Amino acid sequence: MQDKTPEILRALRKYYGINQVQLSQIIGVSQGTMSKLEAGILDLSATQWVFLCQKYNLDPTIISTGRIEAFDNLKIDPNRSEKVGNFKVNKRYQYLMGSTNRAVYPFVKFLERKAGEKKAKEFFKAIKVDPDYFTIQNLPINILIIEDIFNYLVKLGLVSASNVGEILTMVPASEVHEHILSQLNKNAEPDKNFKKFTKSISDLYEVNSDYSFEGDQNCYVKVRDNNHLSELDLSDDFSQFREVYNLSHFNKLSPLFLSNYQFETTKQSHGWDIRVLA
Amino acid sequence: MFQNFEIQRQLDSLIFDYEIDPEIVFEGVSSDNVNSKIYNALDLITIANNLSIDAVSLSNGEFCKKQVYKSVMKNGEVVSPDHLLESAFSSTTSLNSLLEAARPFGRREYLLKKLQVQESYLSEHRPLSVLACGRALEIMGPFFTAEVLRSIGTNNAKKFCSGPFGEAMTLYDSLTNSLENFVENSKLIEKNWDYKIVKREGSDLLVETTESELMREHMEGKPFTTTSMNIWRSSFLQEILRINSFQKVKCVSSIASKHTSYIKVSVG
Repeated sequence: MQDKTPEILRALRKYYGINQVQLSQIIGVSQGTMSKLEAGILDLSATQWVFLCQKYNLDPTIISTGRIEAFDNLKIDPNRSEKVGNFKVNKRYQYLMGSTNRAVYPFVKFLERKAGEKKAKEFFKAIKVDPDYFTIQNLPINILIIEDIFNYLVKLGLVSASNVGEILTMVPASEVHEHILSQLNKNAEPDKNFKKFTKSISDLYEVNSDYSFEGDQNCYVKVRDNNHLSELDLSDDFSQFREVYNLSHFNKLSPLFLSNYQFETTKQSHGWDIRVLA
Repeated sequence: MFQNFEIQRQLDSLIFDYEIDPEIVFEGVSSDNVNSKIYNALDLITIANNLSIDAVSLSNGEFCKKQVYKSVMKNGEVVSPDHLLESAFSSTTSLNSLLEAARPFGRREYLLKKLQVQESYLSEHRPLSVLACGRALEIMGPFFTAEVLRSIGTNNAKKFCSGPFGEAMTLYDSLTNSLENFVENSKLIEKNWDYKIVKREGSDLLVETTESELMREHMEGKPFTTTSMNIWRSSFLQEILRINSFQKVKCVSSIASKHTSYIKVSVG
């Protein structure tokens, strides 16, 4: 089990807009100690962790995942214009925020693991995004962040049309979809589980597209872009990638839903249909 | 770092009073830290995981040691959270509805640990103290907006209507009959609140709900008529009446006193 308290401390502080001195006073340590705690040079004591968990209503077990699912109930709303938290995030990603960090998470992890943390840090510095922002999973963000990470991965030769699924292999679907998988009845009909999953996308991941479960072999799930996407100048390559990546999700989830379905997509105007392969 | 005396006191109690094997308690914690009794945050989580309890509860002693003993020393074969079975006038069905709503916030497993409720106990409709839902509602306060609370109430009603309680409920042609039937049968669901229709004005009805004697004794006077509990309960009633009267029903609740609230029931 890895200690992820440094990430959590930084994210918590930036979310609430407090500086190191203020947080050090809250915890009862010197600023120097606080700085070492955030850098992972010193360990947080059991008592300090308990105090923080109580004060900020944190699940103590997130120490091992380094992910804060949510600080409050925040609906995904692409029309939201105000930023959430006090992180430094490029304005490019803070309008038409139809995605959440939960949707971006596999890309960030893929980048870190495949290109290395140093390169990932350099990239986020270049695009002016504080990577600590991604620690809090339900925070909103514009889909352009995914396009930019995608383009960078392509530039590094780490992603191509043929290995899109690798993103989900490196960051397993069971980790990406931990929430939704835990709430599915493993003994239920696959259709019911896919229906539930489809419905949960707009609550948990993103509202860039509408996902409607049709249940028909030729159109199992209908995916259509929402209006705000037309205001973003997404490249054709990225649009194609979205479709393949999305399909990859459904195919990876299939065995987890105890189904033997294999899917493919059919391009439609402003979206695609996911159909079941015979 | 300093020794945390309260954590150590709780661990000593588990080891010496309840005779839980220290090897189980400290598995995965460095022997240096065990010997010096100075634990870092990761040690605490490791120990709490070994004991299947929430780390904060472990550190402040707000947990049932007997339950820990049963789950750790009996290979997890515990099927009853016995500390929540006294005055168990609510049910696992209600807690399940609440736990479902906690999932999107990543809090379901956390709540189970906090409450020390065994997953296996939740697999079917079983009795449970209202304390479980009350405590869970308290923890989920920042996340459960009125909208979420309403959906919990609605989903809970659907579950009840599709179970044995649903069979006891007969479908009615009027809201009044449906409500009267509910009031009559409410004890089938839980014995925590008494329901009484106190006013009828055209199709509008006013229901008084008071914490039952049983619940007051169980809660030692602590009021359970909170805003969130009220929203949940009125949405629950609204859905029950909608299903059973074939009409759109609106229920609005208001707190009257520490232990009593009113639910205004109307059509539309």
